Amino acid sequence: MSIETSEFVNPRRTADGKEPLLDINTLYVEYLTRRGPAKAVNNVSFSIQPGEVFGLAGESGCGKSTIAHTILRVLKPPAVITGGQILFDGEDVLKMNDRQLEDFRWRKVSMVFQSAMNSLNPVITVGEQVTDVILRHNKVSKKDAYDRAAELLKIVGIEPERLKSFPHQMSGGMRQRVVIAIALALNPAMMIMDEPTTALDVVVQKDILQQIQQLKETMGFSILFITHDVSLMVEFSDYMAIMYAGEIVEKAASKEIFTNPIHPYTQGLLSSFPSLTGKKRKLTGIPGSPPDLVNPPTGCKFHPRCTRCTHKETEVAPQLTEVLPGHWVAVHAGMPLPTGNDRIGQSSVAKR
Amino acid sequence: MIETTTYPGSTGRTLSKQVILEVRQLTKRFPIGNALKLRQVHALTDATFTISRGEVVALVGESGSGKSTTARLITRLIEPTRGEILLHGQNVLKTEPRGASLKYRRTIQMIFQDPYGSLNPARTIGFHVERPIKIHQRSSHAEQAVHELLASVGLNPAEEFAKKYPYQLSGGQRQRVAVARALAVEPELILADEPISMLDVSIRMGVLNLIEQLKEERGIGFLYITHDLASARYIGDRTIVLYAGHMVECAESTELMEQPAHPYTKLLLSAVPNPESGLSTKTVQARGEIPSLIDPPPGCPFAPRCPRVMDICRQTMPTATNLTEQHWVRCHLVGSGPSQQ
Repeated sequence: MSIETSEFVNPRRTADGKEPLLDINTLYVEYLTRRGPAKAVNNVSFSIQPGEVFGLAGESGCGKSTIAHTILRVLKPPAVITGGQILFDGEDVLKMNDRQLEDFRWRKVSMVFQSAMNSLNPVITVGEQVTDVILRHNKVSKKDAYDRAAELLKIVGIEPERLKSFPHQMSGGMRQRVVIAIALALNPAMMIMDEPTTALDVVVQKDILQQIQQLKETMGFSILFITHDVSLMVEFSDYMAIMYAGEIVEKAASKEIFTNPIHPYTQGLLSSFPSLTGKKRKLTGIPGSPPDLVNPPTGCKFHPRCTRCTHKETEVAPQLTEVLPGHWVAVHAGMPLPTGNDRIGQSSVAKR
Repeated sequence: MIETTTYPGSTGRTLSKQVILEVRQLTKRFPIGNALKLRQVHALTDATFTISRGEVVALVGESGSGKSTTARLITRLIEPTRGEILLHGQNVLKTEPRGASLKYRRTIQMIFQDPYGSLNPARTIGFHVERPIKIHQRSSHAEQAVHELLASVGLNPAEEFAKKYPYQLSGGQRQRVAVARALAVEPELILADEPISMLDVSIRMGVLNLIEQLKEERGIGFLYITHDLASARYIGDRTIVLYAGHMVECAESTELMEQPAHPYTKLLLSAVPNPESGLSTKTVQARGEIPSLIDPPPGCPFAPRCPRVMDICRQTMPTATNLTEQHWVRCHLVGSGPSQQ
């Protein structure tokens, strides 16, 4: 499938002409199922600046992880990339050959996978697993690789002696730190973190995220941070995009999305998290459930669940447009923008 | 058993509450190791609390803190090492020593965490909801009862849902089926073990609101087990904080979140993501994770992580101290530990 250039929208956030580190343009990914193609990623564009934390938020099945896998080119059939462009530091990732990919993966972009706690091999020691990635990509002696591994473990807050441990001898939080150490091994320019702390307890989660933030500041890498927990994302990321059914429906600075959510889905997501402080109020969440991606609703994919929709009959999907400086939303023109009390999301998330 | 209690805090009203379930000093130890080296996992130690009609008690803790063990003990899926379980004042461990009777199981029902694993994929939704009705002989018109139950949990049209199979339902709908199945026997108490943690974010509130509605309309008591403090505050009338198998603090939910007394409760609260403050503003006070539960040393289980640990904390377990009538805490910093000056 070819993408017409007329559709080519590249809503970059920054107007100051800075070159983005990662630039995704009109990406389309489909899963070929027996019932037909499921449009998992549909016309997605965003860019990440060096040293920035960019968040992708959305419910399960909205395409967040598919995007992460596409960037690293680790998508497996039945997934196919049907269009778009991914530029990393000016290089087209989708056109790379195997040798170029080898150099690209891990050295430039590394990844912490969703089930990070289980992504370590249980039958070999942690040390072997950390040195493995160093030896694979560098021509160094085993001794040097081991020293580097010890150094990496120290960076993420584990005593180097634990290199001799097996994963099962470590707690969930420590295993997660090891996985992060492996991701840091080659000093990548960007790290993709796909729900890195979902399986962890809230105290450990905070501890690890703070450490990642410190590491980011000292080492200067960018992060593509993927989670379904919007309040965590607002806290952790600089910019964020909200995805629904394979499409970005809203994109802005995280604080802006939190204080001024415009898309009804974003508002619904924000009002799905009860608050710890302030007056107790009834939260509604979002009625209905996410759509079938093989036969998605026509027009705006959110309309069957939307309470403020004024274009139920329209077959045309709304385009992502910049409604406020740096704030992009995909809603139909004429949709009443929230004012004051309408801001469900704003008033219902934790206030301190 | 009727007892009248004045709730502290904002309301100050006098409520008459009917206690359904009371547990006293409920303790569970799992033996591990071998005959030469006997070791025990102290999963739950001296849990004591009550649940009344129309009350949601939230049990909050990290993984491994003993939340699910508590639920399993109450349903009697496992037997306690010691302690008492009193249903309407009767110690069921004495009256039904060989396992829960039908009557007990009718009074106390459970909703499990994973709605994908708790329904049989080869059976229809109607079958799942009908089974408890048949087993407990609750109604002669089972089919009609099934439809009413499905409608009452918001699965409309009920006739169609009854014919569907689990795979045709979303996670939220499945969890509603689990609720309907629990309701089928008209229980007085429902134990909900992380009922929303596996659901999509946007549909979680729907399930929580359903629990709230059942509590208000039918006076069902709930034990709501969660690791999420905010949802405990949203739905729980009272919240109990569990750490390493010990209940460390208990209070009316809003009071607990606003005036936490135990250092662990404070730590938990400070770790909850807060979009307004940002990550770097507050550093986590205590590092580390829940200690090993295998033959733990004496003293407070939180002592190794506590930022305000004292010598006494490593030697003796503090007793529960009442701050107000409904708010108690188990910490040497507050109240009267054995050798407090």
